[in-house]
Amino acid sequence: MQRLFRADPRGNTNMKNRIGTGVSLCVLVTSLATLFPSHAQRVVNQPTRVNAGNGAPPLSNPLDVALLKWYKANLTTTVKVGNQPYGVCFDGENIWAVNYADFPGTVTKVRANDATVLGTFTVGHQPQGIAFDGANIWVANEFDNTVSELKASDGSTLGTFTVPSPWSVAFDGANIWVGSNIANATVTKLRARDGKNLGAFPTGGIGAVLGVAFDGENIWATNYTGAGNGTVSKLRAKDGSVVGVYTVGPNPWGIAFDGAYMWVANYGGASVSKVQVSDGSVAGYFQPHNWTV
Amino acid sequence: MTGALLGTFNLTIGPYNVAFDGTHVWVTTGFNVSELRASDGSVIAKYPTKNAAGLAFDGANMWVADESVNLLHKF
Repeated sequence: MQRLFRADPRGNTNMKNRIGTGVSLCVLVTSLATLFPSHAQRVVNQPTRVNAGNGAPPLSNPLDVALLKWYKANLTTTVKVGNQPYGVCFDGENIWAVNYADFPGTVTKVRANDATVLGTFTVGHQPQGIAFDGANIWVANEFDNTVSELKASDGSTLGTFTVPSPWSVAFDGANIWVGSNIANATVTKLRARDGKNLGAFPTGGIGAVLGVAFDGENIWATNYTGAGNGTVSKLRAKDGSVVGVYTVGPNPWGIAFDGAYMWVANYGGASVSKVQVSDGSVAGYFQPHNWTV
Repeated sequence: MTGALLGTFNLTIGPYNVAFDGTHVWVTTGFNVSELRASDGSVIAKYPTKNAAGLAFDGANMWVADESVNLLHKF
């Protein structure tokens, strides 16, 4: 086998040759690099923004990433919608808001993850409450005495159903429940698959039903009007029968279920009431506190 | 199930609507949106608005309709 380097009696000639060759190569490479700068060297020597070449704004220099500075951001997103938005609901992907003072009324569909307005769709006059049934959006048009059903995917109107002075809306898994802004505290049950009116049910309370919510078995309705403290009613969803009427604060308006309790906004009392729904046991009673809001 | 009243909590301004985010209850009170701890009703945060009305939770954020300025706020 032929050797690349001849053996040296002192044993270090080959090493010297190797070092000399290496130094020469380094000098040669450095010289060539000066004559022919690499892509990265060219980028560094250019201005921090380069033309995208397609009419788009100049591109940021990707090497600037190491110079980024981080600041506290305002995480609140604000989206312009129609006139006087009121009711809001979520369809699993998008937020829908009714625009009460548009004429006629409209609903705005906003993609939740980036707040892009996807469309605005006409409904009836003075829409208030809104709810999602798993496929479609239901809107209470108070002035028109109707409820609109819109396809959530494209906002097209699927149907319009008569309900007296509708205000609040809730879905029970099969039916849409509509609270009416009339004196005799009534909720109307519409079958979600076709909008058929399955009946109007007195809540047992007095005044407008401005809020409705479902607890998995029962529909809860707020009874807004009344002297002194107001009430909420619990109706069995399967037949609309009144299970009970319970005292809360003055002028109860909105209502929401947290999995164990109903929370009721008492408009006239500057308070919220927490009402147990699971077994009716009394876990405690809380006197009003002077929260600064 | 009897619907027993467990507590009533003052907010100083008449609230309109409420929503639950899985842990906290959000209440629109006109000039503010208040965030309450569901376990004891204590106010843990408040956010200024012009006239907050309806609200809904999207699984990550709370959306609030601010009716006097034609805006939706995402908190």
